[in-house]
Amino acid sequence: MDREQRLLKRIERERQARLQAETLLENKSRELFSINDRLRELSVNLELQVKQRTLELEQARDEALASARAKSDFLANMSHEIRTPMNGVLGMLHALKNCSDDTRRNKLIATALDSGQLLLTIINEILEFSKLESTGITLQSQPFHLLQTLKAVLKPHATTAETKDLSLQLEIHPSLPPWVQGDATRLQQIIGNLLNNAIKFTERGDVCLRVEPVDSEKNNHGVRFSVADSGIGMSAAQQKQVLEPFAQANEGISRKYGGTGLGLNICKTLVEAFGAELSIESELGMGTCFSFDLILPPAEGVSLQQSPSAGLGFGDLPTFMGKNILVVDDNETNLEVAGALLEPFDCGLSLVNSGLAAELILQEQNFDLVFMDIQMPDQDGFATVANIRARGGKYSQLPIVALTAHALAGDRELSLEKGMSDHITKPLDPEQVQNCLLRWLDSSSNGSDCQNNVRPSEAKQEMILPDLPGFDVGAALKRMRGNRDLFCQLVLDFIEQQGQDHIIMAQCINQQDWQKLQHVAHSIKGSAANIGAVDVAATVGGIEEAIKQKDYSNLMSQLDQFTRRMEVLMDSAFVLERYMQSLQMESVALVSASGEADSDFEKNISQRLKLIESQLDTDLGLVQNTMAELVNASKGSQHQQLIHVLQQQFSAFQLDDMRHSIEKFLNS
Amino acid sequence: MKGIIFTEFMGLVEQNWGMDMVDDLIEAVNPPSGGAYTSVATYDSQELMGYVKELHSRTGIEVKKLVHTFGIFLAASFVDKFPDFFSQSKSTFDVLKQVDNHIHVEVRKLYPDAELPKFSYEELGPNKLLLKYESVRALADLAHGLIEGCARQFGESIDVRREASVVDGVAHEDFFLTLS
Repeated sequence: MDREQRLLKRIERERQARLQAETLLENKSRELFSINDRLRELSVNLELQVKQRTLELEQARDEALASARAKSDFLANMSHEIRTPMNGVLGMLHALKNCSDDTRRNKLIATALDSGQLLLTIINEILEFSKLESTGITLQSQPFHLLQTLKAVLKPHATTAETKDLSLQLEIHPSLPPWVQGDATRLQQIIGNLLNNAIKFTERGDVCLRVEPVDSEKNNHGVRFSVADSGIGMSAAQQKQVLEPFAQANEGISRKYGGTGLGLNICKTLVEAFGAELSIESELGMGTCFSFDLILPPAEGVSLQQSPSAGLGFGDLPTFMGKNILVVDDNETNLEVAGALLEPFDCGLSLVNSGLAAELILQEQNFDLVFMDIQMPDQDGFATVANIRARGGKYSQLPIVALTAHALAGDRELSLEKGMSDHITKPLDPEQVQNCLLRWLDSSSNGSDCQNNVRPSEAKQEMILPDLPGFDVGAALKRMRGNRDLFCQLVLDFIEQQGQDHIIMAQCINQQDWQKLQHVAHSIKGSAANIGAVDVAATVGGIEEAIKQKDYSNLMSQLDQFTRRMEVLMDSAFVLERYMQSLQMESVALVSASGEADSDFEKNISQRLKLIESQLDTDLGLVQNTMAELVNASKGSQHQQLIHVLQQQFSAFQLDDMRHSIEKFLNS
Repeated sequence: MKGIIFTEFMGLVEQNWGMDMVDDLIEAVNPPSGGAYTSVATYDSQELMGYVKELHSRTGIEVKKLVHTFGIFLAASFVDKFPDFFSQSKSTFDVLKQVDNHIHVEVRKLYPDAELPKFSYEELGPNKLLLKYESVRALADLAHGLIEGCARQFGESIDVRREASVVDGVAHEDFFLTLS
């Protein structure tokens, strides 16, 4: 190898090595560059992510804070809300202790009951809310009578609406099927809440529940429910907020109108459970309309026997003479309450305070029905039932109804599983007890069946009543042994329950459903005859007869006559109601005594009103006392009207309205 | 095998036998890479073995001896080129203890494709260290030279006793080191 060749090869080798190194370095630097890029990207993303997370955390924190604040506001409101009716109950009981006048006692008791009811409503609402929050809703699907169901919801609201001088209307479209399939209880709950709200926030005008079919491409059984009022209305912002839990349109609302602020949220949750949406149309000062569309297919195969017959009204108690009832409860007060509720039914009544005592007395005596508390010390209701059932024979068939303060779904199933025949919840409600008696004593084999004997609940009263066209008052009062109050109550019940029947009848004629028409007519005939509504009874009797004879030609004109005669009855019922109210006022005025000098008179009234105003904030029992003094002091003066208004407002717990009335008077 | 081993080997040959010997070795072995080596690239270790054998046949020096000498030479180059690895250590043992868990980790960061031998150690006493060497290429003689070269850098005298074994086809060599 010569020198030159060697050198050339060396240069070539060096060049190759250099090229190789350069390529490697370039690749390496590209690699580094991209790695660097990725790093930068990561760090930028990281920063963004940190920002994003921080934002989310801040939002979550704010939400948690707002929710905590809403809940503590809610608690503060609730303790006020609960304290007010509680004060009412205690105050009334306090006043009751020192009161011997029966009329006044009854009023005090009525107010205490109202307050207790209000308290129960508030507690139920809170329970309902937490139940919905924790367990969700299961809808039942059962046939129910649309009109009757809605009327039942309207009933308790009618009184409230009336004291505020609002007109409460139910408009139900005649083309809707009378029986539909769905969850009646939930529907009642929604509508009840909406009505409650509408009446609460409406000072004048009307509240209307409208039910009409809605056309939809997907389904032809759509029913639109809307509750419209002419109340204070809401701004767009308030509308958004008002469906949230614990929220009311503004905080002043709770102070002025009361309430938990849960009602609408419960409505919304329930409506959503139906797969529907609760929508709001509202304008400040103009009123509000809540509406929702449900799918309610017509119920098929509902036997006419199941259609609601004219229910038993107040004062129309069935009696169970010869039947023996045993009540088992360890709590004396509960025993007293149960005893007081059962007493009017004229049955034999035994009260014992333990499971063992129940077992002993059952060995010695025969009972037709047992009410059994579940939670008792020593031996609870379930254990007692097990022992009783274990004896076999008549004891295995003995109706035993569980009494419990638990109102949870599932408790009922548990009771039945443990050998109970039925299950009712405390606080006991007269209607519930009555239904229970009807159910278990009616089907018992021994004892005389006398549930349909109507027993007058009061002693004879004077038979002075205004002229009431359409009624044979004399005959009706005779049937009721002269009990005017009972007569009035039955008339009002009749109007309420049968007032819309002409719609159902028209529908039957339209659908040529003669069987149902006959049934409705028959049911009206019975109730109408009871209250001496002879003309109406005769007309529906004619309809019933025509159907029996298969003579359908005159039905429309007969229905016309029925409708006109019902209108006459309604007018008379209105007159009757007013008359009964005026009687009550008179008796109040008669009781009071005169004796104040005219010069001191006005001063005296003003002082008492001011006193009431200050007592409204502290103790409603004191208000009740001062009100009584005021009634006495103002006897025969021109202030009767004011006092009457105040009394009405007080009994309806419209405390703010009372303040308002007093201020208006003092300023004038 | 990393290119630096090749460039250093050529450096050793040039230093002892001149540039022409480098040309002759490359000419005789005629490796696939063409003999143009750069320290940053990677080459087949067989090429190195080819040069060692050729050098043996041309000089008559034993292959073992040549590889050992190269180890001593390489240690000096490492100290020169990577002073950071050595400046933090006070002794040969210090350096050897760091080879596997520090030096090779750093090498791996720079050259992810580097095939590195595995070292582990046991301290048998204050002046005694057992260095366990494991390599597919069985370059135990090179490792031996490196240890000695390293000791020279620190001015230490270390006695080296070797025990070889093969486990699962992998050559293991235990170096029993005693500092005197």
